Amino acid sequence: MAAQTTGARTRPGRGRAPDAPPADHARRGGRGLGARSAPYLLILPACVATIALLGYPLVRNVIISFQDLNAFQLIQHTTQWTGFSNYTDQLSSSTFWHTVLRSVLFTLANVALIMAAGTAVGLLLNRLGKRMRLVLQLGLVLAWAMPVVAGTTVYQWLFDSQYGVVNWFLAKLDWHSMAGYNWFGHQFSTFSVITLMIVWQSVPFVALNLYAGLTTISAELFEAARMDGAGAWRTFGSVTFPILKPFFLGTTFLEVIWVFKAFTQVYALNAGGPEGSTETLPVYAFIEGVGNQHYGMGAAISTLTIVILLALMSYYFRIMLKQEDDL
Amino acid sequence: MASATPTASSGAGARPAEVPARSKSRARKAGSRRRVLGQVSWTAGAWIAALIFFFPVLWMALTAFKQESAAYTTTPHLVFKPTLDQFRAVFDAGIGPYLANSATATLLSTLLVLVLGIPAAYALSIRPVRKTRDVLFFFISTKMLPGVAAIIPVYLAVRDLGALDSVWTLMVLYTAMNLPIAVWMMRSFFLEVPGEVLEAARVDGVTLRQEITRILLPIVAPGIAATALICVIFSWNEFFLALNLTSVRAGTMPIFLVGFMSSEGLYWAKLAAAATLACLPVLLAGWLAQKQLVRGLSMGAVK
Repeated sequence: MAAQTTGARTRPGRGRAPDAPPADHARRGGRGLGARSAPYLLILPACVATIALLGYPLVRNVIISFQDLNAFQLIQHTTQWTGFSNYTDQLSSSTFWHTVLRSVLFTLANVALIMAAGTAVGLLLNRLGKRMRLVLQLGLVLAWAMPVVAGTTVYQWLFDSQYGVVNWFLAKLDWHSMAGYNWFGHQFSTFSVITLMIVWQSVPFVALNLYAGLTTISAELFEAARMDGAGAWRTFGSVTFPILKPFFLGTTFLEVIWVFKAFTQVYALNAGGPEGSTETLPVYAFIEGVGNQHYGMGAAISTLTIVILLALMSYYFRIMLKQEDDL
Repeated sequence: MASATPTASSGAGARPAEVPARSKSRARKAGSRRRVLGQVSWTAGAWIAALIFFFPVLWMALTAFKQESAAYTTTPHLVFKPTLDQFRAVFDAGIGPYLANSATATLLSTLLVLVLGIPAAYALSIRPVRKTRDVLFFFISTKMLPGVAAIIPVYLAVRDLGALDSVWTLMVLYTAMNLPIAVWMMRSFFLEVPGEVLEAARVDGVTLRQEITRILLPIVAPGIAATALICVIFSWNEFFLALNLTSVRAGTMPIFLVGFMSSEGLYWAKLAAAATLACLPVLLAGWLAQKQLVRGLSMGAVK
């Protein structure tokens, strides 16, 4: 995106309709130097605040990752440089690579489920009558707005082995071995609960967005597709998806970032347990850095986390850049 | 949930009315019948989906009104004698200061986000500067920064400034957290302002300040409200920074809840009451401002 500055002035929106008016305002420039520099002055405070409060930690985190910073050095206020040793330690440890693999698979599974379920609910919203739509929308908004910590508490209780509603319900469905099942005692079942919770929290965003996008497609297009005898799948594949492709790309992009970074859900639900088998990269970095007070090592892990996220995203950046060129 | 049948039938009845009724051919009739069936199954799907999304919230609120003995049953009860004991216990446990901290950090940071964000959003939409796209990209790229990567430097900096365990620190950090998305969102609202309105005002010779306060702000007020609401929700729910940067004085609601969990972990009904109180403001905001929220969320780039 950064390379696309030529003509950026006339195309600030992501293909949104009101592209023309801004250019129109900009060309006017009738109010002298003060008016021309005004926009820059208006952006400045926000940029400075963001750089100071987000850029500075990022840079300092990279610096710390080259230090041997433990509880001792922290209290003594001493600095001990260790070069790349934090990095070489991690890159040669099997724990790290297992965690990377786990994080990537976890992210892919979650994002796939979120996009599938979110699309289904979004399409559903578009098909409903007004009242039913409001009911479902309210449910979505509540699930989205609920504090993650509160959500985690509730899910722990829902999946409680003895008193949880889920085990009771499954046992009612004649799945008797699930009565008293300990969801948090195994890697896969813990991940299942975490995934369910993350999907539950994320679907609202995708569904409401998709619904908003669907309302911009003219009904005649769907009517035409139906006249041509296209079924529901065919209509989605050849009308809905192509038109809303930028939406799908953008939303998937945000969801990948969000799930890959997810900390509270994983940590608060079972603290990465049992025995560290559900530690994702952010949780691993936190437990190693803050929990075990190996701050330098934690900084190295979190820096590597960013690098891996950027690598995952690079494919996406390419698609999005192409998309913008096509517009 | 008693209104299930009427809503379902009205939902189902809404669409088939659009089917052209004049057509008498058999094929058409079969088609419309199939479409009615389709609509009924859509509605049924909607009820299932709504139930899935409501259930955890509902179950939490319901449990909060139970006695512990009613919460701890292997067969869950939907009917029970409601009590306010749990809420009383939560208030006795000293929720007050946490509520006050959350309210302070949330409201002030949202205000600061608007003060810093509105001018930036204005400059990026109404009077785009060069490299608008670079600036926007810079803002959104901050979303790639995981909290864990920032926490150690932030902790050190805050410690060196002697500002640990302070609600002002949280306020500043929440501002930084929400500013980028707020700029993105408000910019997309500003882009919808018709250019002619501004052009006309300029012909009349208004100053920059008048242009913003008298003409723009009234038009984009709903969008700004939606943005503010989303910032409020994010700040209120923030957990990670508060967990690492506060101890006894500046704890917020999520911190209270987690502390409550470890001290009262076996008392689920009490925990549910605490969780309900922690959710109440945002859930109320979500309920009352559903329309604005949905619209704000749909402008993209939020999470």
